[in-house]
Amino acid sequence: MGLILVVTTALVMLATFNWRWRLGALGLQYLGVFLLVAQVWAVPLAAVKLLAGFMAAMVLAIGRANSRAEFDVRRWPAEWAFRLLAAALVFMTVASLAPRMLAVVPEMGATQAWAGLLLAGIGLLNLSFSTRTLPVLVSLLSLLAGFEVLYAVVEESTLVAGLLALVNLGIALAGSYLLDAEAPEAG
Amino acid sequence: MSAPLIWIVFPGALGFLLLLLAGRPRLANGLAVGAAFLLAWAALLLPIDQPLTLGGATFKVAQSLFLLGRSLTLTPAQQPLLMGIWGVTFLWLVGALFARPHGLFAPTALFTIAFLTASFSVEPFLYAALMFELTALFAVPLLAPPGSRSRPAVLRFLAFMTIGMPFILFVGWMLAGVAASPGILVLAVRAGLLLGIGFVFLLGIFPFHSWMPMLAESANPYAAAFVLLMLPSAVGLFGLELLDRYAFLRQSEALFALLRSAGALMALVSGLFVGLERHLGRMLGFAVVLETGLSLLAIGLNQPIGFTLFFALLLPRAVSFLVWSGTLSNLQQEVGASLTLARARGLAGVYPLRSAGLLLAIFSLAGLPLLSGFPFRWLLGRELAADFPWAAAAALAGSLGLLLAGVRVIAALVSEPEVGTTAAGPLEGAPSVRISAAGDSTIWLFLIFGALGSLLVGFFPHWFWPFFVRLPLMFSQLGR
Repeated sequence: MGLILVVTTALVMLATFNWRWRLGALGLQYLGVFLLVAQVWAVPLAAVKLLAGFMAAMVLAIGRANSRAEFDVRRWPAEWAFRLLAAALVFMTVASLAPRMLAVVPEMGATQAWAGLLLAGIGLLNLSFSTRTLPVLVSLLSLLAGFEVLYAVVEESTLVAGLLALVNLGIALAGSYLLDAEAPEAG
Repeated sequence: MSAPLIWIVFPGALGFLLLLLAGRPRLANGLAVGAAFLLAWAALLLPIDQPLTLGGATFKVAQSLFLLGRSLTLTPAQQPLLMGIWGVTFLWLVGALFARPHGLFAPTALFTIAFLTASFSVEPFLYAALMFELTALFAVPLLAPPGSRSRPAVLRFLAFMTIGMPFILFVGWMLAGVAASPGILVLAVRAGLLLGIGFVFLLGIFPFHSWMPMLAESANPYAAAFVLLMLPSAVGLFGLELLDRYAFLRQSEALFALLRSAGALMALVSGLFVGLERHLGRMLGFAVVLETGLSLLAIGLNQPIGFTLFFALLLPRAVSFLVWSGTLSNLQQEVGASLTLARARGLAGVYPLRSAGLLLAIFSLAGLPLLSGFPFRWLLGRELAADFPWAAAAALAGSLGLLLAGVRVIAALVSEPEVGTTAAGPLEGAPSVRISAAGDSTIWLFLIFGALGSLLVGFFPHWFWPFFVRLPLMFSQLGR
């Protein structure tokens, strides 16, 4: 369930230009991350990631809603196709990396390896396509979420969980701050 | 009472409190100056982990603070470093009275230094990557105040810091496996590769350096230079800690060869770009890249003198960036525009003191004799030339590029403004020379101290050398 959620939401964030869909997908993505991390961590500790993720998405949503930036512009279908094809390349890369990851980290489950690598890979891809504030920061959060899924298997520390939650919230707050300063862009 | 409480928690908390005074920047700055001075003085005189008797009462400043199952530890051997860090912070906060950065500079400076101090005191020390990321996040309001055009640069800065962080964190787990099984080469290679990728992003190693000149161009130069000075220096220190902890890294000749190559490439590329650059802020950014390259070359020597030089290069860097960015920030506010070479034409005639300060800083960083940058660069070049002449040549080429940039700045500053334009603001007729005016005492003081500082280090480097020799002794293996 967690793997399906994170992959679906990552693809939605890659393909959509609508900031509401994007942030909604981000929130759902953190639910998927919680389900994956809860397989190796205690549920209360894993819930920290869920709460931090929801709060980050909410902060970005409020920031975007109050922003003076223009609403997103409709894109040609060709761009969607290009992005999804690029995502397919990421899938193929992850298909070759995941078995190696499992060999290096025997404690890791296949779903976690796939989910973490896919999330990080699609997040990185999305980051490379983005220049505006919200897509960049959502991509960074997605990338970090993928890393957190992988890292949760090897490190279960309260301090790290807290600091990573702080980083997620910090990115969201920085994003909200920058969104407020974002000038309208030409269509 | 513990050392982390004094040098990490207290300045961090004070930084947050000073946010409430962001609307009164001089008061906030004054309080921050006082705090930085006290912390530097405390690092010099207050013994860590030794009983101290005061008025009949005995107490001890413990070296560790425990937090959520982990610890922050500052040892007595790290006190010289703490004194240096807070001393430099004190100078930068004083310089802010002249440079007039955004009102958030003082609080941001305090909790930036608090986080960076935490980065080399946290156990496990690989959590430092999280501290670097948090430092970058907290610096965002300072680097992109309302109305600034630095958003793209700040986004790129954040992106690279965020991408680099996971690699360092993940390597922490891998290094435990390597330490347990040092004979398994594939583990060591994987760990080294991930570590290298992490440092490439965190240090801005070519070609991932673009955020440095972008930030120096579009953000306030003084604020940007402070972040560009402190963050790469802290990351470099973290790199030294890694070398100290792990024997397989310390004994890897391939790693040091890679460091020398990366350092030489950064010096060469930055020298090329800075020599051709037309914006004074971007020149500053490329100077940061050059300095980072020189630090990598110093570490790449893999000798005790190299580790000493890593610390020694920090002093002229701190002083020169302080003067360069402070002067640039002040000039840009006077002129009312971002300073390209075209806009800087004729400024020497209107602002001679500030122009002199700017040139002093550039030539000091270029390693001109008698200025602060010369003695330690000369020593680095001599050490490199003995075994790695190609690296010495690259370092020299980088310095020559910066020298060329300085000459072009001179040419712009002393040349006549173009007909119909002026770089010095809305003037009619010939601009008058502003030697002194009401409120210019800060300019005099700033430039006099900057010049004196640069000349002092340049003329008498042997006064400072014993301090730098002590700094690598905070490591258990390096520098011995």
